[in-house]
Amino acid sequence: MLRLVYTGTKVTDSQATSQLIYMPSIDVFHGYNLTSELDIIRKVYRDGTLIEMGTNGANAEQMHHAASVDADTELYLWSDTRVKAYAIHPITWTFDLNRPLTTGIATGDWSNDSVFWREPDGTHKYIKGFSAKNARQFDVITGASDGDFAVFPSGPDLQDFAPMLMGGNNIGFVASNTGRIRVWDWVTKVLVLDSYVTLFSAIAFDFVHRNFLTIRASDDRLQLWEENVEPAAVSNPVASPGSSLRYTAETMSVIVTGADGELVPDVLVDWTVVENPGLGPAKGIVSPAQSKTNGLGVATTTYCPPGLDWMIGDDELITATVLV
Amino acid sequence: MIELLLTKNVPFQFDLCQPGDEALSNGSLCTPPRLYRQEWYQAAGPQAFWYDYTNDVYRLQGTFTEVGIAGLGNSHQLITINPETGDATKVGGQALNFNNRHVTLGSYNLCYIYRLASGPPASPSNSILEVDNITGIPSATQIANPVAIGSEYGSLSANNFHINRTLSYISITLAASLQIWNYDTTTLIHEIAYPNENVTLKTLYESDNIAYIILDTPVTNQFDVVKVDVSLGTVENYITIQPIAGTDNEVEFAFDTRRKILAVYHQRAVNATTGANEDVIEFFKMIPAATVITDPVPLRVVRVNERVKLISHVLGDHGEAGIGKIVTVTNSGSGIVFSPHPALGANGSFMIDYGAPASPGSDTITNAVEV
Repeated sequence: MLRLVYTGTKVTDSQATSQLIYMPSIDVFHGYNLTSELDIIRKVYRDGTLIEMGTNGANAEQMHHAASVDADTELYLWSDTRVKAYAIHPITWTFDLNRPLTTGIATGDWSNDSVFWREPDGTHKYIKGFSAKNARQFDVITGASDGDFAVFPSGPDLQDFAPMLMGGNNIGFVASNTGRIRVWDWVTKVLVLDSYVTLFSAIAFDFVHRNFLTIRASDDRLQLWEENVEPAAVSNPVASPGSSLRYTAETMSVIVTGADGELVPDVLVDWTVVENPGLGPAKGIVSPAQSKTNGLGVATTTYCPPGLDWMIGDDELITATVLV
Repeated sequence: MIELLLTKNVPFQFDLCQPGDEALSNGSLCTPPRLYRQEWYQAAGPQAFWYDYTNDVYRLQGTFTEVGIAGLGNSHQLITINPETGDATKVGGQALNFNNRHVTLGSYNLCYIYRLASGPPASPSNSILEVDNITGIPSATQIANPVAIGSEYGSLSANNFHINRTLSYISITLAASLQIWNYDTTTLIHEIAYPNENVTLKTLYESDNIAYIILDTPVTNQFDVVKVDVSLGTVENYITIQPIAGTDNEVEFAFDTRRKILAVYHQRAVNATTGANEDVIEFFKMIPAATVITDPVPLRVVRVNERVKLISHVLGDHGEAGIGKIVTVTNSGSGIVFSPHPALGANGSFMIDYGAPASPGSDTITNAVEV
């Protein structure tokens, strides 16, 4: 489970918000109702402030699926009925029907489970998720793709399987029925993050401040999450080489994991050493007294046992503690 | 918890109060409620209201009744209104032909009409014509034929339009979009879709490139003003102005290209007791005002004795950035606000640098912004 920062206001609507998109240039989330053909467009702020942009009304045939944004603040929208994509003005939500985006992507490859963005070299990219839990990256202009890659393992994570932009080369894939988030580097096809949030009806990633914003499925409240996993468990320290000899330093290590078994990087672990209760002060030391977990969730320190004063029957207890 | 100092729905700032107006002013909006000294009132809604740059007057076309000539006064006439004094004068003339309505300012600061039907002087029907600014008489010169232009979509009315004669562009508003055509080649250049289905009330000319589109937007129950660059086909802003007052029978809009202000004419019922004309004009500068300040939200978990960033926004009513405002952040607990006057970013956001208390508890951070 990711670390929850804040549970905010209930987003009170006559209609649910089923999709959120983060707009970095104006630091706001655009929310709309995908199931009713983009019926409601609104700006959603982190404190629950909603600014209505309007309903689509008779214009519904013009504005449909696959709204997305790139780091240059361009917002794109795919129209099912017009079978074209358009660039949308992020503040006014207007667009020019006479100037569709030029694309070589085949019509059948557009879907609402997709994201657009523009690379630093000016090329436009598009990633679409498939129900078989695969994803495929396209060049928007030429339509060329680089083949599928699996983003979810087999199992129950399937409902509303949709990608989202995470900044850099990272693309997040989420499953609303399990709350699972898997973040991939779409270039190297390496898994960057695999964790969970509370079940949600909509989710977006703020890639400026590095937060997820979700609308909680159970009560429509906004929740703000760090992209860091909340530590839930620390393993017992393991000594290496474990010889328990005078003057022989031991490397002590622990693994910090989240509630769903995730390895938790970048958390501080406090190390203490005491003589077992009732037997007096510790004779050995740990150094450093505080260390940070690495990418595999492992934190280490060095335990220096006592020397000549380590007597038979002495017993020292080394403890690793994580601040949450 | 937050202290909200702003009053919502004050979208434009105004500074055209005239000496002696006894104008209402709150620093953001000033409404001079002028009662016209002429003894007339409108028996029916106005058909057109526009700014005549050449003569520096507002022109109002409609059916008026002259007080004191009961039973005789109902007639279709033209009234001019002096923008400085509010004095109104009945003009009359050929422009009062009922078929010649939907008058608006356009290229070269000339006036244009969309003529619904043929009539004297000889001219084609359903066409855009230039109007003589002095006499109010339409010329026989057809600038554009919106029926021909709109053939792709069937018969297209042009109750509202913007004329750019430099590029030969005519911009015509539809319910949910603005079409920009080259009227020489009858080529559709842009079609700008709005996020709502609207009732388009008026297209206003600021320059050959800039048009303001006034929309009645049911979803927000307010008027929206869309600022469009018709040459580029881009929307620069989308602002809300207040709904029709309960006493209004009808509202008309004109853009004063000399003073760069929006004039809103409220046609109201006569005073039931005195029979006096109670129509008023409001003037607005086309500057969005801040109407919202959001609550501070932490971006990371707040821990005892640690500093954390919180984020908030100052916004206009469509989410425009509230720039150039002074924000004040205070707290009531034992934490420390290290940025009591944070700077607003270009998108209206501001960061609060907050130091949490040394022991567990709660604190209340309050944002306030100058109006």
